[in-house]
Amino acid sequence: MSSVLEIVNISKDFGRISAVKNLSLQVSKGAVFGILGPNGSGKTTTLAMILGASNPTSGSFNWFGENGNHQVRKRIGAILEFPVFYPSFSAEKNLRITARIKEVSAERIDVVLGMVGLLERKHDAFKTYSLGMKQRLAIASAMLCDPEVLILDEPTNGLDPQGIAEIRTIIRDIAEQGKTIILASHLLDEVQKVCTDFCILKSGNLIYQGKVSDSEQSTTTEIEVGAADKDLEIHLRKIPFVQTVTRVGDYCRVVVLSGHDAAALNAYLNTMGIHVSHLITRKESLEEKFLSILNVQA
Amino acid sequence: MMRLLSIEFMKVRPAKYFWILLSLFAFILAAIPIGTFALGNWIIGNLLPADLPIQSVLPLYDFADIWQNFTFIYQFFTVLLSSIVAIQIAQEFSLRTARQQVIDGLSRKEFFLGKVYFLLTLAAAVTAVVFAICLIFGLIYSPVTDIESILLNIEFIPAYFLHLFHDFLWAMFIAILIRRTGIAVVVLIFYGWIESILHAIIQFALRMEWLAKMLPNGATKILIHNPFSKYALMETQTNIALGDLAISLGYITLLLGVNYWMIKKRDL
Repeated sequence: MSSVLEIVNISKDFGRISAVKNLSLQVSKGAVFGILGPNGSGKTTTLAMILGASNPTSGSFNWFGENGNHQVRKRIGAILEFPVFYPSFSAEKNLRITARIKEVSAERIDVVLGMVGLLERKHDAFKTYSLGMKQRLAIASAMLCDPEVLILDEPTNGLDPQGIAEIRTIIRDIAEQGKTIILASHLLDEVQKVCTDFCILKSGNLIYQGKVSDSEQSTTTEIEVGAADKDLEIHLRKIPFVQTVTRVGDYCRVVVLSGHDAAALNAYLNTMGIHVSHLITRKESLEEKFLSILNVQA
Repeated sequence: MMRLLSIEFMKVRPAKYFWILLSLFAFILAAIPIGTFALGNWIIGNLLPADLPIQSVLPLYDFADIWQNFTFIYQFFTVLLSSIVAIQIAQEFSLRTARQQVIDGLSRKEFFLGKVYFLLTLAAAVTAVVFAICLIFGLIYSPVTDIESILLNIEFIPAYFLHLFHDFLWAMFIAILIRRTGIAVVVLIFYGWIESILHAIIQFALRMEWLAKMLPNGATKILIHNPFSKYALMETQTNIALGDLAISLGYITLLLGVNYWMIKKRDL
């Protein structure tokens, strides 16, 4: 697959502190690429550099195979950190300025405002918007040029659950249109839910890069079982394909050998005369993997 | 160029501070020639002893002199316009809109050029209005209205334009340096005061006029000398000295360079 973005050995120093160290990355076309990392790991600094807002101390990057000048940024939609607009201007007036900068038709304004559900509020001043609406307007602004690449930096930061769900739906809809998305987040769950590829940054270093599906496959399966039988734990240990059993509250958490699943476990327990009242398959989340990667590196 | 200029106008047209400061300045532009005439003649008629040789304020409006007289007075109110510039540009950094616009596809050079075009347009528009005001009041009150008298000393109009452009670039410099809207305006005004004091000390106490002329803010005012001393029958400079023009143009070039460099090199 052709690569949309290629970063080669990019570094950024702020005085003595180096925020990004020799980072190299490739994002291929159509990917939903997650950049994961705790706060202060260099995510925003990296994005600021590839978007021309910050000058790299060393290294280089390419957009669509060409050297990144400002013309190329007109084909990219990006928001860094928080939504940036003139507070006293209406959404429409703000987007008119963006449209002129990106040299796209002002007719797109209503299209993108409709996409994020802000059409009715387009004449209201930006400062009257809720945080969720501000984030949605930022996404609308990024979508104005019908971008080939969409870059979002912590798009759900500070939002309530409903706001988070709305933003995720919008991101998924956009991803379905085949656009490349780069999503920086410190929330693993977010990356796991929307991304196809991801990398992990820590203190400005790249410590992991791979596919979300690969990392899900490599995780072990854990099954949570509950039954009225008092000797559930003892019975579980007798099952040949059960690796470990841990008691967590009223339930037992069971790790089974690969190739076996909850159905097999249930069937086996049935033959032992135990009737299961609670059965949940838990995959080790990306979060646990993320934390274990971070800890290994630390 | 038109694209960049239109972007800049889209940023100020809906802004309240722009219209408030601009209206205030427009009011002053109109109030000074009207007020001077009304108030001045009233003072001369009612308060001054009748045997003084001054009969009216009308000589202030005489052609040839009127250009220097009014551009000199208007210079003291440029700070209203410079504040627009300082607010507008500092805001771009404090709101982070400068960064977002670069991310959206404006090059840093385009951002800089947009600002410069805007400053040039503002300076040109204000100069045109000042030119029209002087012309109209001169045509009404000046005893001589032949074309030669009108054109004599009209160089104070382009000098006024240079003064405005220089002042705006200076405000732009402070705004880029400080990046906080309120503080930038306060620094702009306070520095103006401090420099006036410094200027007086250097010129009158140290007697180093050449050095006083070099002060960045004052350097914008050296083109148009105080014309009113001539009404007290003192020797008065009624032309633009080439040395002063050189200092002024030098500063304009320097500020353009420094402002561009800061926008180019610093992280947004």
